[in-house]
Order: sequence, then structure tokens, then C-alpha cells
Amino acid sequence: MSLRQSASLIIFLMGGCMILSLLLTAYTNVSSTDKGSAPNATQPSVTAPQDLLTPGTLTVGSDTTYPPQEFIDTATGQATGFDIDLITAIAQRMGLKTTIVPAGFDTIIDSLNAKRFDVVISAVAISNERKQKADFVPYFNAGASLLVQKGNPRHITSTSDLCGLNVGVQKGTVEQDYLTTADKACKEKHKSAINLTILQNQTDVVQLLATGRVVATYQDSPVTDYYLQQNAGRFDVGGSVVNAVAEGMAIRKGDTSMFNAVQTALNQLKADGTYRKLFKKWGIMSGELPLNRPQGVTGVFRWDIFWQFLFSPFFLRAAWTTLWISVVAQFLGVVLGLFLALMRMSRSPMLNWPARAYIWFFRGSPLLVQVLVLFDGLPRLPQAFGLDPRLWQAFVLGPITVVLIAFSLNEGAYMAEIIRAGITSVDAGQMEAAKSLGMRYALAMRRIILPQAARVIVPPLGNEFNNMLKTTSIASVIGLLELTNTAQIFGSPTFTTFELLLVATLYYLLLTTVWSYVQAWIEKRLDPNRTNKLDLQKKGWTQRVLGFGAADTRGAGTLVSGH
Amino acid sequence: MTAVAENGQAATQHMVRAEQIVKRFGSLTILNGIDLSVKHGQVVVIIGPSGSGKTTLLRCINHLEKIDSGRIYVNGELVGYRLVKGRMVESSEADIARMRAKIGFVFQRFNLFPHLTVLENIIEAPVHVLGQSKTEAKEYATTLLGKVGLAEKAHVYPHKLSGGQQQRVAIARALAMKPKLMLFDEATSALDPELVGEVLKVMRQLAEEGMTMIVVTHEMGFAREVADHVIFMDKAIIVEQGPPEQIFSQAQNERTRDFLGMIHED
Repeated sequence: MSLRQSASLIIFLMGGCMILSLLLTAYTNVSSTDKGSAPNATQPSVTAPQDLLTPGTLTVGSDTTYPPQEFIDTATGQATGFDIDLITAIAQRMGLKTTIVPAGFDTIIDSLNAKRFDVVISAVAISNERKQKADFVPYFNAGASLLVQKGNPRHITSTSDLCGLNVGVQKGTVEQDYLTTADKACKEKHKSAINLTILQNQTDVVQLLATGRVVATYQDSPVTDYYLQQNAGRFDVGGSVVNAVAEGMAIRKGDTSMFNAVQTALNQLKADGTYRKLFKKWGIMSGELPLNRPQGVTGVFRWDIFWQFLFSPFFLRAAWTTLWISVVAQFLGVVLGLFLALMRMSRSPMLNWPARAYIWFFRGSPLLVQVLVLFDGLPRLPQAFGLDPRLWQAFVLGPITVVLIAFSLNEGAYMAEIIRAGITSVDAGQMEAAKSLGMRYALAMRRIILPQAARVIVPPLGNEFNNMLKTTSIASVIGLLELTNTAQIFGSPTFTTFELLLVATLYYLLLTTVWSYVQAWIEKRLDPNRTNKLDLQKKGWTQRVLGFGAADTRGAGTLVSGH
Repeated sequence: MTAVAENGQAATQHMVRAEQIVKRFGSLTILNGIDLSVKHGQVVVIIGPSGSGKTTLLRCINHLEKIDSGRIYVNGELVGYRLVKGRMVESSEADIARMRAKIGFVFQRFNLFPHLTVLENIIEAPVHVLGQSKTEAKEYATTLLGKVGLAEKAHVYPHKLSGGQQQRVAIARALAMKPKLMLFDEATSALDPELVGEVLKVMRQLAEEGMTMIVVTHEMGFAREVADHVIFMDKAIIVEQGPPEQIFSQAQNERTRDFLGMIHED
């Protein structure tokens, strides 16, 4: 490739980046769940804090898989629970509306510090370690307690009874730390280790107990009590509440105006009885349970839930999210892959080696890791390199931005190899013929080589897109409400994750099936010999969808004249 | 342009002028100091055994191959290089493309574009390289198709055509650029014997119209009848050259005689 070609290539790449960033800004603020304040809100009595992410709104981070404190109301799709009511009441005192942003618990404090939200309320137990990362306004006293099978057949009364047993716990909780300590104690006493199963969602942890995969789960005592009431006759509490600590609303260190406003509002709520009313409402003190409360573990397949969600707006929206993220990421991946392929095929080491390194890196590391690094790791970069830590705000990307960037970059590496194979499959005589007619490299590529390569590229590209539709589920780890995460979030409060994962599966199948028809149509369009006997039209749907029968493996080679 | 200034008369008299071309592939020397000159309207036929370097020589003339030393001028212009302070520096991609657009090249294996119809094959470069309007290009393409006897095949894809028909389309495609020089690289070698005649007929017709042509071929009959000048190459050099009657009847060199003897035995 000549210098001039390299220059135009760089310009193309820069243009691509600009389009990407435009797309990203357009879609960044879609994933939050709005929860407006009641219109008859009490007059603001507390000065609103400064520097809100969105003026007039308190943006709250919460891991909404933790009933009764925070979870998604399956009837409305909105976040609800004791914590949510409390923070909404606090915001009302400040004259603010509330937006709840779903977030993963294990990274929630980091996300707060990365200014993804103004405040966190998510049953966060105050520990010394956490106090180093954020300031806390205590609002809830909770200890840890063990949930066990009915009748406590293993006679578990404390964590020291857990040596050698299967135990479930939620990732990133203080209980996980307690269990790690208990495990060490087991080893010191030369007993077997505790076999821990650590999951993202508390409800999934309790599900482990319900299905007998673990003999005990360890969580905050209100949660233990809650599941006990929810599933009368199935569980028992093992031993008593230990390590009682306060849970706190987390506020960024140094954000004093926020700290004071939250503290003052909470004091007011305590003084006027609202705080106590909320306790009662959520049955945490009295045992009374509200309407619309989560159902217990029944072990029965809930067809009603299945049908209710099959055509619900939550899943339609999730399917749309899955679809458009896939389309955009695939498109950007193809564009990127094309440039990488051309660079990779260039004889110039200046172009060749960066492309090789890129492909090596992105094909060699897991997409999940790339997503997490962009989401959680990027904001820490300035600090890691000794720069002004305040710079990190520039590195905080929204979940959709992260997903689109990571997926496009990753896909680009795979598409590069696919496109390279496609270009290589075109007879070398084609480029010579084009050049001998006075065509320049770029024109010959565009008009002669790529249209022929396309026939070789499209079948694997179709595979890639099919994969992309399903790979979007990785976005669930950073809270994006695509199909898989929607199934998990809506399923967890009612123990119907299985039913909803089935719903999600049907949507995935719908998307991939429609795509297989689109792909067949594209392949047909690219075939210059449209009267071909192996016409795709004559392939039955079973053949196309289920992949029976030999694939159409004609390469471009046989279509090149003169062979 | 520099070339014209430097070489003045010598360069402009000839359509093609090659001086001391050396081409190597690694340690193998393919062309070892070739001198060649082709006048306007002349038909030069290059013959010789496989591996003698005749195809490579042809490919050097439109810079499909780089040369290691020597100079090639086409219509007075230095091909593929420009002189910077007396040193040969490869021309820009745009300059090379501009130069190639004036030279027609016909390949042994046709190299038609399989994703385009016959007509689209022919108008592709006139439209996208010369900037002709589609209507204009189609009109001329239709004329050319008539000339090569394939007017009714305009909307057919290449794989539906016989080898001879494909090669005639390839010739029409090259002619659509209105080249000043046509290079034929064993244009009939990939054809079934019964299809050779139709392609040679088109080439003969072109020669009669006064096109400057360099033809690499094994068709001795064609060389004898059509060539103004015949060059015999062997082992990277020009062994002997002259008018066809001289080469075919009174070859001076033993290698030439051996080669022609073998051909006639076939």
C-alpha cells in the first residue's frame, strides 16, 4: 500500500470513530428505570445537594435483585422495595425526582465513584474497607444470618458448622468475607474447607438452597427473615443473627453537600414517622407483607408468568435492545474488520504489524473481560498512571457505550480474518485485470475484488451475526437490560427465572430464525447465477434453521472464469 | 515527461522502447538485458519455449512486474518509474494507473469479472476510470461487441460463455479503453483447439486496422501471417529477431531452429 493509501485509510478510520461516538452519545441514557416522584410530594425541606448528575433528579444506583429492600416489581417493571421507597422519600425532601439505575452489587461503589450515580442505596453493609472508598449514612441495622432447610437437618447454628459443606452466598457481600474467614478457621482446625457457590443475585443464591444444591445460605438478617416468611414451611434460620452492622447509603467521599442533605432528610423522616411507616409497609418489623409481593419458591412451572411476560413490553424492549446493539456492533465490526484485513494484507510492516497485534489481542482475550475492563477498569486508568484522579470522569462510559465499543472492537478482529479469507479467495488475475484497465487499488477493491469476496464472506458473516445476537447477553453483567438480564431481573423476585429465561430463549430463536432468512436472501442476491439449481429457495425451513443437509460450499473459485 | 525531454526523438519514434531490462525473481534471472523497440502500428510477435521470459517481458511493459534495472518507454513516457536526480523511483499509484489505462492487456486466462455481465465488464473501466457516461460507454461497448461477433451476449454472465467467447469479450474490454498499444499474453493457450481460430481472427482484424500489438504466442501460423517482426527468446535473452520469413525460413541461430523444429513436429 502506498503512503497515500495509508493516509486515506486513516481518514476512513477516523471517520468511523466519529460515527461511532455520535451513535454512542445518542444512545447512552436509555437503560435507567425512571421513577418519578409523586405529584403531591411534600414541600422540599432540605437544601438540594450540588453537582447532581442530572439537575432536578437524584440518580440512585441499586442492585435491584435483593427483596425486600430493592427489587423489580414484576407488574410495573419499576424498581421497588424498602430502600427504594426510602430514597424516594429522601429525594422528595430535597425537591428532587428519583432515577434508579440498576447496577451490579460487586462493583456498585466503584460505579458510584465513577459518577454513574449520585448515591447508592443497596443494602450495603458498612465495613471498614468500604468506608475507605465512600462515606455512609446509616439507615438500617442488619446482621448476618444463615438460612437452612426446614428443621435444620444438619444442625447448623454458626459459620463454624459449615466446614466441608456446600454453602451459597451473593458475590461482593460482607457475608462472603465472613465465610472466607470461617473457611480459614476450618482449615486451621484441620477440617474440610467450605465449598462456596458465589452467585450474582441473592435470589439465585436462595434458589440453590431450594433445589438442595447447598445446605445453607448466608445473607443479611432481614433478607433471611424475608425468605423465611415467603416460603413458609420450607426453610429455617440456622442459629442467631451475628455481626450486626449498619447498612448505609453510600455517598462519594468529599461530597459533603450530598452527605448533609441525605443525613438531614433521613433525620426528618425518622422524626415524622415516615421511616417507621416504611418499615411496616415492607414487613421488616411486623411481618406484614405488602400486596404485589414476590411469590415463594413453589417448584411448579409458572405458565401464568410465562404467558404474562411472553408479549410484555419489558421483553419486547429487551429484544429491541438486543437487536439494535447487535446490528450496530456487527456493522461497525465489519467496517473495522475491512480496514484491519486490508492492513493485515499490506506488505508494509507499519500497517501489517498493528493489524496483527490487534487481531491477536482481541481474539485472544475474552469479550466478558473486555467489557468489564472498559466499564470498571477504564475510569481507574488516570490514577494508575499517576495522573490527576479527577480526570477519570472522562473515562466513565455508560453501559451501552461500553457494550458497543467492546463488541465492535472484538467483532472487528474476527471479521478481519473472515474478510481476509474472502479477499484471498478471489483469483489474483482479477486484481491484475483491474489494474491493467487503469484501475487504482481502492477502485479495484471496491468494484471488483470485494463484490466477489462478499460471496465467500457472507456465510461466515451470517454466523458471526447469529453469534452476536446471543453474545449480547454478556451485556447483562454491566446492567444492560437486554434479554438475558431482563429474564434474570424480572424472574428473581418471584423465583421464576427459569420461566423467563425460556421467554428470552424464544426471543433469541425468533431473532436468529429471522436472520437466517435474511442471510439466505443476501446470499441469493450475491449469486450472479441466480438460476442456480441449488437455489436457496428450494431449501426447506428445517434445512435452513436446523442446518440439516450439506451446506452450500461453493467458493468464489469455481465461479471465476477460465477454471 | 522527463523521459521525452531526455530521450527526445528516439522515444517518440517508437510506441515501445525497452533498454537493457533486467528482471530477477530472487536468484533467478528472468530477463537478462532485453532491448526492444516497437514502432507505431507494428505487430511484434514474441515466441520461445516456456520459461524463456516472454510473458514476464510483456508484464513489465505495463508494469504488472517491477524491473530491477533498465528502462521502458511507452509512447515516449517512462513506464512505472520517474527519474529523481538520475535515479529510478517508482511512480505514484495514480501515474501508473494512468499509464496502464492507455495499454490494453489480454490475459491467457481471460480474467473477466465473473460478477458482472459481458456489457458491465466492458463499460466498468471506461465509466469508473475514464469517467465516461454510462450511455456513451454502453454505445461504444455495443459497437465493440459487434466487432468481436458477440452482440447478442451483452447481458450474459461470463461463465455462460465458451473460452473463445470469453477471450473475445476480454479483447473488447481492453479495446473499450481506446488503448494505443495492445499486449496479448498467450491469448489462445487456454482454449480448446476448435476455439483458437475465432480469437485469432479478431486479433488479425485488429492488426489490419493498424493497432500496435505485442503478441506472445505459440501460434506459428499467426506469427508468420500477421507479424511484422518476430522475436525469439530463450533463457532470459533475445536470441534472434527479424521479419517472419527470415525467422521461420532462414533462422541463423541453432536454438531458434531447434525450437521451431519442435513446434512443427506437433
